Amino acid sequence: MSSPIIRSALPVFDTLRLIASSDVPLSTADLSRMMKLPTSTVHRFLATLEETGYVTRFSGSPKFIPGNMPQHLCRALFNRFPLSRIGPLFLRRLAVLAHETVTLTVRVGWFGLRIEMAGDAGQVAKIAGPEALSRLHAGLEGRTILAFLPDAEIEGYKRYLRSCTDTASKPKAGFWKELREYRARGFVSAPLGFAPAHAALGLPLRNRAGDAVASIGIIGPAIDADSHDLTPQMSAWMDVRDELEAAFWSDPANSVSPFAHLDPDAIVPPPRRARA
Amino acid sequence: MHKKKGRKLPSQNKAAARALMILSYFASESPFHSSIALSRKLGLTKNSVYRCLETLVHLGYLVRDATGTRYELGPGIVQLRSPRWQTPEIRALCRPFMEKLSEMTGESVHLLVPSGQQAIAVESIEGLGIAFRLPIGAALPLHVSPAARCILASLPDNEVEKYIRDNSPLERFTKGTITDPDRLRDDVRQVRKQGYALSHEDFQIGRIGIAFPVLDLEGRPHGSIVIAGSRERTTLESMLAMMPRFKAVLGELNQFSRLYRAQAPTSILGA
Repeated sequence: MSSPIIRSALPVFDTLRLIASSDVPLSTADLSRMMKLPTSTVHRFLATLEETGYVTRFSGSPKFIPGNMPQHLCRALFNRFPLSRIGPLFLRRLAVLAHETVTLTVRVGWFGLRIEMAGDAGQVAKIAGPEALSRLHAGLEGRTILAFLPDAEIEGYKRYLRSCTDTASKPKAGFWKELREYRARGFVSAPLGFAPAHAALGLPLRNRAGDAVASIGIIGPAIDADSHDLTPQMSAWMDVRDELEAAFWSDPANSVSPFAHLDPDAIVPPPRRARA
Repeated sequence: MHKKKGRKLPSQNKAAARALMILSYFASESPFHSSIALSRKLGLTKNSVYRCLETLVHLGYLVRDATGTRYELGPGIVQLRSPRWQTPEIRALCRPFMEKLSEMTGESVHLLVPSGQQAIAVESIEGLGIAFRLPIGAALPLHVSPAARCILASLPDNEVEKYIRDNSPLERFTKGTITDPDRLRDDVRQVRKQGYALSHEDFQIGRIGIAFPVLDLEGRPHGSIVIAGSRERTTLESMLAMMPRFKAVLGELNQFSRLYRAQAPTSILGA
C-alpha cells in the first residue's frame, strides 16, 4: 500500500519552519538560497502560507515572519493542559515575590513544554517556539521534572537517550548523581553565567503520588549557587507552589496529561533546519 | 483562517493549502476532529482529508487521540511559532475581521478595549460616510455607546454593580443615554441574551451602530467591535438584516480570541 503522505506539501512546511526559526524576517530570495529552490517555487509556497494566515509580511516589507495562525495553534495546544488555566495567577504571585521571570513547564513524554511565563511586572506572557520543547535533561525546568519522576520512569528516559544518536542527547558527567541530590533537596538549581555565585531555581509540581507532572522555573539570580538549604524566601515561594498544587489536585481530571496515551519514545519533534 | 465550504482554495499549492486549512481547524475550542467530520465541513473527499491528516501526523503537528479514531494537535506544533514575534495583540487579531465588516457594510468599524471603568478606542477603520469619527484613544464610560455597553455586559454581575455604584448618577450624553441603573441592568441582561448591543443614539445623535463582544478564554472581554454609521446613510433595520453575516465573522474571530486570556487588568474591581 502506498504511503498516504503528500510529499508535495512537505517543502511548504519546510518554508514555514525556516521562517519560524529565523531570528530575522526572511525574503523570497533568502528562502530560495536556504532551500536551494528557484525563487518562483518559493514564491508559490509563500503565497500559500500567506493566504492561509501562517506567515505575514513584516511591517509591509517583502520579508516574512510567522503569522497569527501558528500562534493560535500553539495557544490551542497549551490550553489542553489544565495548568495553563490554573497556573497564571500563581505565576504572577511568584514573579512579584521573587522579582524574577517565572515559567511553567509541563511534561510531554520525554520533553518539557514551557506553556506560560510571568515577568516580574506581574503580566503573564506566553512563550513557545523551537526552544520551548526540549528534552527533559536539557534545561532547568525539564531537569526539575526529571528529578522528581519515579525511578522506573528515569530508567525509561535513560533508555530513550541511549536510542538517540545526536550529541545533545548525552547528559554531562555526574548528571544522574546531581539529579538524586536535587530530589533529596526538594528543588533544582542552575548556575547563571551572567550572575556568578547565583542560580535559577526549579520547583516541581507533583501529582498526589508525588511524581512531577510539571515544574516552575524562577529564571534569574533567585538563590545562591551553592545553596542546599531552604531560606525563608524560598519557603515563601514553595508555599505558593503548594497552593498551586492544591488547586491542581482539586479536580482529578487535572492529573491526566492530554498526551498520556502516547508512547513517550514515539514523541519526536520534526527536525529543525539551520537558521538564516 | 477557515474557508467556507466550497470556497476556492488558494491556487498556489493546492495540496499544501488543503493541509494548512485542515490544520487551522485545530485552532479552536474543540480539540478533536475526525477525517469524516472534516471532509463534510470542507467539502473535500475523505481520502484527500485523510492524506492531509496523515501528512500532518508525519510532521508531528497532529497526533491520533486516545481512541485512535480522531486527531488532535501534537507537541510538534510549537516548532511553527517563533518566540521572537509576539503573541498577537488584540488589534492585530481583530483587524482582518474589522476590514471584512467594513467591506460588507461600507460603514466605520471600531475596536474598543476595557481600561478600568472606561472603554478605549484602539483601532478604527473608516467607512464611506465619515460624518462621525471615533479617534484612537477616545475614552467612553461603560454605559454609553453599544461598544462600551457590550464590554459592560461581558463583565460579571458584581463588577457591573460596582460600575453603577461608582458612577452614579450615570452621566447623560444624549436623550438616549441610559442613566437609570435598573434600565442599565435590563440592557446588560438583554445584551448578554442576544450577544450584541444596539445603539439608542445614546452617545451621539444621528449615530447608530451595532456592537459585538470579543471574548477571551474565560468569557471575559478582550474588547468589543462596533459597526457604526450615520442615520442618514443607514438604518438599524438594514444592519439587523445583515446579522447572520455579522455573526459568522464575529463567530470566527471569537473562535481565535477565546484561545487567549485577556490582558490584565480587565477587572474593574481593582480600578
